[in-house]
Amino acid sequence: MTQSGIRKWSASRTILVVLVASVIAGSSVGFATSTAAKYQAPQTREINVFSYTLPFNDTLYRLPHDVFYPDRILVYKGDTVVIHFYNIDNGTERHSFTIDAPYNVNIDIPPQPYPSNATFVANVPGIFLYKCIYHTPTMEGYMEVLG
Amino acid sequence: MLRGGAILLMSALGVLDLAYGSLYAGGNYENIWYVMGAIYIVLAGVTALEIQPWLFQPTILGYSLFLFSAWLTSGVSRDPVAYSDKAIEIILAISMVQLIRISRSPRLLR
Repeated sequence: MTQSGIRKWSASRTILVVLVASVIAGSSVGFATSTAAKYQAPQTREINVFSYTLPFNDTLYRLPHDVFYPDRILVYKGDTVVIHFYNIDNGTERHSFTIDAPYNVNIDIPPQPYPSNATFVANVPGIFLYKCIYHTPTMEGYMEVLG
Repeated sequence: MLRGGAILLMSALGVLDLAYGSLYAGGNYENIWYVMGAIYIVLAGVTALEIQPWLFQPTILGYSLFLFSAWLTSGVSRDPVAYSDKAIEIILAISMVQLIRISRSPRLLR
């Protein structure tokens, strides 16, 4: 297309070409920006989880006085989750950090001054219960995987 | 009259974009706002000096429509300043359509 050719375009042709080209280009950039802003690249999330004992008499209340801290874990689908589970029980009680299928995580440890770890990829979105197999229903929490 | 109005609108958009970049965007793509504002000020100057109107009038129309479409579809910057900016941009686009129609009328091309 020569310069003189474009110069001789009618007003309506010029306006139409500019309108279509700029709206297409602008919308493409806008949608690309919007998509890029929403996209969250998968990350490795290291989460420390502790056993914790609430100050009440579990025999009297007929409930385990053990809980998790934290009892909520939030990750995005695709994240690599590294759980560092600490059993800080003062006595000799074992605790577990257990998630059933599809993640199938089970860390089962006695009291110890260091964590035991589990690593998995959160590839299924949803809300998943994690529990101590010895101290349900109080020692439970939820991992939410945002899809 | 129409050209004067377009120059005024482009200058207002330039100042608004530069101010938005420094006051509102704060670390959030503020350089893009500076560039957009600077381009509007340059285009206002080009229009004031009547440099190649056959080329720059469609360029200004395309630039304003490009920025408006990008803003509309991106979903970012939804605040009163941005709404004012985009309202001015639409008025500018309408002015440029009128200017293109006048300058490219068959009578004037001859």
